[in-house]
Amino acid sequence: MYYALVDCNSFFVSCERLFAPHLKKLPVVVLSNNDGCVVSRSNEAKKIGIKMSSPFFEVEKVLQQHNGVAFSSNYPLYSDLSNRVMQVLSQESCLMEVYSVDEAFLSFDRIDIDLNEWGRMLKHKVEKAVGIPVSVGVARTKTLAKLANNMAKKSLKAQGVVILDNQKFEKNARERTSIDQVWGIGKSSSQKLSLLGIKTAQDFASYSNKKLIKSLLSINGIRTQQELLGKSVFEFDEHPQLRKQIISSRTFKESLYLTKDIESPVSNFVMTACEKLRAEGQVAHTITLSLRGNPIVEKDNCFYSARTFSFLSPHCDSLAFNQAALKILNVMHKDGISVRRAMISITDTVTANQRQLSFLEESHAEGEILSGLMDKVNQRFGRGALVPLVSNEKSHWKKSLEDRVSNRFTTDWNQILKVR
Amino acid sequence: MQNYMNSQKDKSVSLYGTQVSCGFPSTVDDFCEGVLSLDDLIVKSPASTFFVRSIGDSMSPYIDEGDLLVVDKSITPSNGNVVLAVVFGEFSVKRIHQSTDLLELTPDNPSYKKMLFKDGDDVEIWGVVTTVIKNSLI
Repeated sequence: MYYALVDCNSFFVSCERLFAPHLKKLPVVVLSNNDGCVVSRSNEAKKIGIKMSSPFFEVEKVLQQHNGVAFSSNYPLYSDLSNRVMQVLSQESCLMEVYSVDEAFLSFDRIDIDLNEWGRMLKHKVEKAVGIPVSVGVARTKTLAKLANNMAKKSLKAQGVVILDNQKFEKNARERTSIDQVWGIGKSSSQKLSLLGIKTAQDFASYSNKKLIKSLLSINGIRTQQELLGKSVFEFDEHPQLRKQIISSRTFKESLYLTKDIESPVSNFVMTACEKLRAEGQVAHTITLSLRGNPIVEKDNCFYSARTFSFLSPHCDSLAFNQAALKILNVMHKDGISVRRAMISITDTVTANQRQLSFLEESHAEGEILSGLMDKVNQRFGRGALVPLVSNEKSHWKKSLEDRVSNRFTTDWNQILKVR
Repeated sequence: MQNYMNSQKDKSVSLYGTQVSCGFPSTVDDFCEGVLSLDDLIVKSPASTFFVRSIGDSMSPYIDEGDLLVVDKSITPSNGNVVLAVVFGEFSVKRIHQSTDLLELTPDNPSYKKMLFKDGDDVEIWGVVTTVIKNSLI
């Protein structure tokens, strides 16, 4: 069984360049909602030092100096082009799993085909049909395919396709990949591992003390090790999950009756849970708020309610989770209902470096940076030094006039490309 | 559970269609076929089909200003096809002729000049114009 990971190069930027070919060799970036920060960069933009998630105002000047262009996010366009890429990939006779807006796993039993040729053919097919450049990594396991794909992106020699079809190549790939680039190894995990002298994927794969690995990284650490060594453990629609659920809760000293009194502790729980999430280097999709009355006193009349909100794209933005939690609270609770215990749980987590920005929702990059800064301040000055303003009003991060947005070339008849 | 789910908007645009009612349970049912769809006819490869609007007259009278062009990126052009090209970073609709070392992009309109390119020149074929929908009442 072989796995191929196909993913688009600088996806949002590539989408823009398809309809603006004069930008092919210039530094180009795409900005998050409200043109806040950089969420996609062309290679030329990387070369002039523009980092991912940089606030736009920081990079505006250097971009101008190099005749670069910044675009506002154009989600309808990216969504449509993503569908087209996936459509082309789905024509292969393989099992396919769309992993994110610009990545898909294909799996197949190795028949006697030249994998290199196949990989190049597939890359060419997508680029010709849709005009979006992709990289292809093929290996015996998903984790190795991810490594291969990473190498395909970075190596000029590889020209976008890397096949790991023997143990020598697999070892070479592990040696060339730093531990924090391994699928399933989060930031805090890689920090723990580097204390053990584990700096590369090869170090990790060959680390013999399995007990220690299991205690540090739980069963997923072992599974990732196995995958790195060529044993396929994550099958279809399976990914390495780190902490599956993060909970923060408390039973109150006294029952609370007013919704506005419950907002404050709920916000605190959200903050705590998000701090834990970020400390793990993870992002999450779902937040659940549960409320409970006092079962001892109220017995059968005890109030119990739980509601969930899911974001299409995972994030670690405290402010967004907080907003969602308060919205849920106001739906679930009315003044007069006695509440003695509240619990926030954050679930459907994935490691932060795999998440992709959703094409239908507001980007959380700004919020995440802010949340990170908030963590630092709270660490220094004590928990609670900075808290989000408990508010039911609509977020002041409304979609402002994004005048750097390109046309909806494929979803609006009035905005299709004009040619001479 | 409240969910923001990705709802795929139905993208098929039937520009033309009449309803054929097959309400009579009779032998007619056996001959009831699908409605004719312009989308099915014109868009052979949805993933690689794009619509663009002409705003020039370099290909007049075949293509006039305001016409809608159907462009398929996946097709390799044959000599004589109309293509959407990118010339020095700009889009251009022209008729293509490729010989061994020369690429010609020729306008149908005689008031415009033919363009010649050698290997290595900054020219790219973006796609082939498969259908021209004249600017009518739509």
